[in-house]
Amino acid sequence: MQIKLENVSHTYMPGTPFETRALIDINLTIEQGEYLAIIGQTGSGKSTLVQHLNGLLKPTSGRILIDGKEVDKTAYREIRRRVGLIFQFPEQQLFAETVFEDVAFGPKNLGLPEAEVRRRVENAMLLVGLDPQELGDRSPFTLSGGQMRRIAMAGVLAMEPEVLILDEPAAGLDPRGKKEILDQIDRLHREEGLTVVLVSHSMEDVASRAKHLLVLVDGRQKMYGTPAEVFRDGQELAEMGLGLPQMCLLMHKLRAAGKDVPTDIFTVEDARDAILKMLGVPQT
Amino acid sequence: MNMFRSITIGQYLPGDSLLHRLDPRAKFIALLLFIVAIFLVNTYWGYLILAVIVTTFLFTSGIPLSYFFRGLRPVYYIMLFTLLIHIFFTKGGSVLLRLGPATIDSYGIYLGFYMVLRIIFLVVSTSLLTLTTSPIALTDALEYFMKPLSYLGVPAHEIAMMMTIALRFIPTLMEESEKIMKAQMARGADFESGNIINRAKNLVPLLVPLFVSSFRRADELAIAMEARCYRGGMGRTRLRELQATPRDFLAVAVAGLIIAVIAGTGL
Ligand SMILES: Nc1ncnc2c1ncn2[C@@H]1O[C@H](COP(=O)(O)OP(=O)(O)OP(=O)(O)O)[C@@H](O)[C@H]1O
Ligand SMILES: [Mg+2]
Repeated sequence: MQIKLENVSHTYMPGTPFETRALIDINLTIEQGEYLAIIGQTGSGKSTLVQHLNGLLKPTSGRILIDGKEVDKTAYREIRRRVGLIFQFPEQQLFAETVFEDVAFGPKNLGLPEAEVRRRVENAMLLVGLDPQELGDRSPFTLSGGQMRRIAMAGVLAMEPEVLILDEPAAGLDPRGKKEILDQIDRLHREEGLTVVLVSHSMEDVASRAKHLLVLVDGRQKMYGTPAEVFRDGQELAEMGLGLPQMCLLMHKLRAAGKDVPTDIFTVEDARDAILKMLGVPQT
Repeated sequence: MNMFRSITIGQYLPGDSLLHRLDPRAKFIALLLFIVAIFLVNTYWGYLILAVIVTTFLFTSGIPLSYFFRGLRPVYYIMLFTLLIHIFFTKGGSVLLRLGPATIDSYGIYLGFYMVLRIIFLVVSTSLLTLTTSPIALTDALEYFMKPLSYLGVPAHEIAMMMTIALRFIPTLMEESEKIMKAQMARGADFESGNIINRAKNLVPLLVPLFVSSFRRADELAIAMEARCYRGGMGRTRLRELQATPRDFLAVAVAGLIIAVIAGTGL
């Protein structure tokens, strides 16, 4: 499915002294198979933006088209089934007595038959790397934070959405847990063919993974493009208070020192290769 | 989906008006006296005087009118309900309308509007207090008034502290309910349709996480307070001492005068 935002703005509590313009004039198209990362500082409107993508928030002005059709009230149920949204700190939404029941909440709300619910729950738990046999009957509240987060993710995956939106899925995890979650998301994108929208405030996490980046600053869309395009100009990003990924920064510095290296380098491996090439060392 | 945050009834708005600067204790007493006045008044002239007083304060308080009245929205239903009850069930005076066995009497209409007026005055004047007084100042004032009770063994400081904490966490809880509700809606939960029993059942996915996080928060707060050596009211000093000025005494005196005038002249 294709999700298209046309001049979308959102204002919280309009007409009160607490009025906040959280989004201003956003234009964006998310194609089938996309891997989009939304980046911005805290308060820049990332969470507000993604809640528009499955109809939890309605734009104050502008419109949202799904497969070319404007979303109306009757379609929200359908859209929430097709667009799965995993909130920031999703472990806070767990409620059921057992892990199985919690993950089954979504599929049951869809009115699926028992056997299909079971299949989906087990499948979703495997997708996030949890063993349904071992954990299915445990209380979610007895598990570790990282496990709870995976269960919450499984709860959304069990709805078998076409688009998966994750709001800061790696927030508050240790480096290893972070890498595991992000790798899992990559795999869902690659192997299950899910369209992915990933919210993050860390360039490092997303630069090497996403196809496109959207940079939000104070509710406005400041940059949009492939990682290579967005990171071409390091100066501009730094001015927005968003740093470059380490390796990209290194390349920019080398270039500034007069070396001939590309700047669209985001991983240590690529950086090594680029530097070796620059030094003229033959590579195996 | 901003249902919770749109309930702004009595939510404090910082400002610099006369009402904002008055001592919370003076405001409390003045409001109490004013409420007595609302119940003493029994002529429309009396209400006119009260209306002039209230609107003067409302206009000088610096609170945007749209915000003020939006916050009162839930009260409109109570007013409508009161009016209808009186119109249909209070008997007396002349019969104005006959609908089968039911009648609408003139006294019912009179009393209905009377009650609605009282509700308006009550709500508007109390909102003026809460809109112009920070929750902390309010509980400080309450603690002050409860102090004599502590000689009788009432834990005045603790009660005030509990109220401060409760008030402090209302917005947090609302934010959190909204977030959890949205998260469950993203999983196909439906909080809006179905019969009463189903709706109550559908609240489980909202209430359980809310309780879990409230207990966690309470725990964290208790630890944080203990880590800073909190041990109740004994010997505790304050960062902001309440300081009554002549202006505050004047405010209370004026409120008292209003009552005296109303009682004396039988307005
Ligand atoms: N429900 C709400 N009611 C009122 N204002 C809100 C609400 N949610 C967010 N805001 C405000 O809108 C702005 C954007 O918030 P948003 O949560 O979208 O930012 P964010 O980019 O997700 O930040 P973070 O990185 O901290 O999650 C902020 O100024 C915030 O205070
Ligand atoms: Mg956010």
